[in-house]
Amino acid sequence: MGKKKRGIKTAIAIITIIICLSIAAFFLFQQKDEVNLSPSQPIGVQVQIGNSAPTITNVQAIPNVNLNPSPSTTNIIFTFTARDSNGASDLVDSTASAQFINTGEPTRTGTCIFLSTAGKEKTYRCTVVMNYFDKSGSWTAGVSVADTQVAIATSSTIFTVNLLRDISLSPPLITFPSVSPGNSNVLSTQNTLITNNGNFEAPPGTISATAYDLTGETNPLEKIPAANFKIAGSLQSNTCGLGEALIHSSTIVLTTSKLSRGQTGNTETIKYCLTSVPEISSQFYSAIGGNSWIIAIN
Amino acid sequence: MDHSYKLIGIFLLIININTISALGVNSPYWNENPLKMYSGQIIEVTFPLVNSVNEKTTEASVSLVEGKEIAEITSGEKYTVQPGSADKNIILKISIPADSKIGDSYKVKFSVKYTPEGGEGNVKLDVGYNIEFPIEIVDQANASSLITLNTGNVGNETQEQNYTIIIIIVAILLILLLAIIILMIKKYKQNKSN
Repeated sequence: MGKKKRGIKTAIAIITIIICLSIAAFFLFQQKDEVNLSPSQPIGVQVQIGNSAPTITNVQAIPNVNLNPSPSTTNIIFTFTARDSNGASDLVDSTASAQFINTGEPTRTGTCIFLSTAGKEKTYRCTVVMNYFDKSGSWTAGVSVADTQVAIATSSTIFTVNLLRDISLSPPLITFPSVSPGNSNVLSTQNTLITNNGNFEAPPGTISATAYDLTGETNPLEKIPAANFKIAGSLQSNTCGLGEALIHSSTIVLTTSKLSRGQTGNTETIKYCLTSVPEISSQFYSAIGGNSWIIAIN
Repeated sequence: MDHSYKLIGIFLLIININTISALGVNSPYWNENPLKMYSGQIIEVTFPLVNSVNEKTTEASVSLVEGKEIAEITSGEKYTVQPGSADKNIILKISIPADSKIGDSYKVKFSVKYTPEGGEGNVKLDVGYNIEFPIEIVDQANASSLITLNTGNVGNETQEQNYTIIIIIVAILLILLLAIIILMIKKYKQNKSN
């Protein structure tokens, strides 16, 4: 009976020790990045808790960005989380920042505000403003935050800015002065101003025009052929002489026009010339509705 | 023929309003940024239409020009886009044949056309966008994803999972030990009373 009692007591003692060790191990694991455990040697042990540099544990993935057209900008909002082993309060909120970087492009710098705390971590919400003309393709979103000892944590993620095709035409129609049969090389009274409201770039050969014959409004059997017109971009000043001849119901590529992206220089002027007026009756001739001419970008 | 008459007004502009109108299309893929798909894959790719805040309601029409063997427009041909709106999407369903091989490539092209508001004239101008993008056939691991994941994110999730597992193990261990202790105490009391 006495042996039994001793056995039970021993078992209880062992179990108690295991419990204590388990609890201790658990708490030690939880705090492993704060305390440097020294080897178990019978010597004096000194534990110094210095400043630990913060780390960024998460940067929210940014989905593909669809830019808003001019004159709007686009706010890109995302979060990142930083951890400081010295405690979340060691992170200085005012130092949290975000930047979008693309080589050769202006860096877009945003603002970050404190969002929440969880344990030793703080989450910040950042807003970076992008312009309608910011380059399409891969951008790097870099984030950073410092602690009270000015140790800085940085991290980044990659995201894609989509390609925005957006042009406006002013005016969206072509006008010529009154003409007579036999007239030649009559320039349009107004040119067409193309404005790029997006981030695509159109080098020479990427703007095209599709033309249709002009039909008499009183007698539709009479026409002015599209082939009697020439078109030219800003790279060609001699529209009537060296402009590109239009073809009815066909698309021709304008090798003399280009369109850049940006806040300035993002326009292109298209000019038109009626090279010869055929022998036709006096009436209005038009190309509207289904016969509207098309200025397109590829 | 008497040419004394004049063709007054052949190209006479009736109303000339310099209205600027613009409708745009966002493209996730273009020539320098091809869509990467794997053999047998079927996906839907979205091209949002955007209208500037200053514009009027604009109507656009869309048609598939190239790539009909693998692509179809599932969102319809006509779109009405309100000012400042970006909620109308052109959706292309793309189906890669199961017998396609890595290294194969396809080309899809569609056109978007709209008529800008503004005036009446003899030659009206429409705006067109010819949107073209290549599709490269790759293995499944390298297929395009619209969202770029951050490696730090993945690492953080793994660390959180480790913590959870340890906490669960310690909790189970403690419960087991407590159960053993209670059982042993009960047994001891029973033995004592006997």
